[in-house]
Amino acid sequence: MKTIKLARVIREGAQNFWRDKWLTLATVVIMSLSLYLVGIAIFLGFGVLQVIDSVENRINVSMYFDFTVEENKILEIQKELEEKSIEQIESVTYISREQALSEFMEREKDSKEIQEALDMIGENPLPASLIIVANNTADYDSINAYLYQEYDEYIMNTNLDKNKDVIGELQNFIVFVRNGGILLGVLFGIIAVMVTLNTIRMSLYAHRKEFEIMRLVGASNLYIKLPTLIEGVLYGFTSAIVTSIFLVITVYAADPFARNIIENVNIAEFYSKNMFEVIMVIILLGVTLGFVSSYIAVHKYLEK
Amino acid sequence: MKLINLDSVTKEYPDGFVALADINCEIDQGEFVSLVGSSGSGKTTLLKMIYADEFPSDGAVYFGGRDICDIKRKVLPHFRRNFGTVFQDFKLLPQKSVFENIAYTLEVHGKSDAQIADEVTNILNVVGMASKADKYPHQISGGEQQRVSLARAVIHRPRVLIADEPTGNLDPISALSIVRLLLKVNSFGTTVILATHDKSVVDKLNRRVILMDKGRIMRDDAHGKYIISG
Repeated sequence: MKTIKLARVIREGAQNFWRDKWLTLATVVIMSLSLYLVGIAIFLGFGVLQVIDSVENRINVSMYFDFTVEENKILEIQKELEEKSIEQIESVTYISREQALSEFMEREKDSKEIQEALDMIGENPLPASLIIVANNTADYDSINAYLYQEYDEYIMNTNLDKNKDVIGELQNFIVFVRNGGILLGVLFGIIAVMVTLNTIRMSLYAHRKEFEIMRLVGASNLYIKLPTLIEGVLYGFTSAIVTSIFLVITVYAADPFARNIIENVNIAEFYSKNMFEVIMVIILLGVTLGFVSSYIAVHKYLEK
Repeated sequence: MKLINLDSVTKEYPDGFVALADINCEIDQGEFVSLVGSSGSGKTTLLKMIYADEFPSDGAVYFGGRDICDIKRKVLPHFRRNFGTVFQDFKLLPQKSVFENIAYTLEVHGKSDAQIADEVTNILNVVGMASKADKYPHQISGGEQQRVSLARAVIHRPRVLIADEPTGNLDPISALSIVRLLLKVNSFGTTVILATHDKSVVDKLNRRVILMDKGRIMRDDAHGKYIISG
């Protein structure tokens, strides 16, 4: 008896979904649009986070050493900084005087004046340095202070003083983008929920007279409710699948443009890594929204 | 104790319109009652009181000794399984075929698929709709919808069959076949309450007739005719 009813309930739900094709089409289109909005928000969020990451990685502080400091001493300091000193430091890279010179010459190989000036000096004018990358942009000030406190006698200077303002501005910008992104994501999410809720409510509004007829011929509330919930879940699932297809197309279509804007960031590769998770989130969201919306709607019509 | 008992029932709507005024009436198990009167005389409202689709604003309606106002909304559908109803506006489910509309009643009763197929095919033959079993309500005529509605009302062998203008859209011959079907259902012990305009039907039946006018019972004859005046 129970299994008969369950099979019937599922069949009913699927029939409701399938038979009223225009209603189903309209519902799925609107629901897909709002889920697509959520999907794009997720992807943009990912993209922005990645850009922020790559920008943050390019920020560093260079610690220039007096010419008198031996290479061994520098390597010792590097080791100290890496191993024990402060946890805010992500990496420390050593650039020797020769390396600095060859990189500089490579960079300025087209400038005759600089080549001539270097020849005139006759010796390497560049100091050795340690390039220090912090875990968090906000920590550069304290790292700089620490370097002066511990190694003042060896340091010629650091480039932080020069970069301080830029880093500060960048940091404000990153915070702004991050908070703005979260706010926008939440806003998109709320819009999607509201749109879906009302779309399904309107679809079921078309069925409300049928609910009354079903009650009149003796169908219990549960027997009316369950097929409707299944119908709602089907709306959600179908919309999520449609949305996923369009998201995949969008990401691959947007890839060349994105690559023009941000160097060294392969959007398609990055997204294809996360695509599965995003699609899972969209499906879960769609099914949950479909279920909850139809529950709210049918509950309202049955209690009336 | 009578099966159905309306005790001083009054139905007044919020806008002040009085659909029923101080109705007292008893109907016994197995009776065949015709409810007659012009449009707006309160027939449909009275029927709705019996299957608990409307509730009295004053007085009480008892079914099997139980006050219908005491029935919780949640168990109302179960209560309604005592009734088969042919609605004036048919109330067929638009997304279901003729077959499925009738089958639905048995589905909610938990009958098996084989049983349902058997019984629905049977009743479709009886009402002459077997050839249109796969059609949807909007694909058949009003008279045909009425026959489907009737088939759905009797398929689960209810204790009471309520028929609101079941012959209204039918030609005289079809109307006669419907009346025969009602009589047959009645002969199995089902109480039949028939609301109608159709003078020829009522006169032929020679059963109890209740005449209504402006929400009141004007006559109640054990073997009545359709008499408008009086």
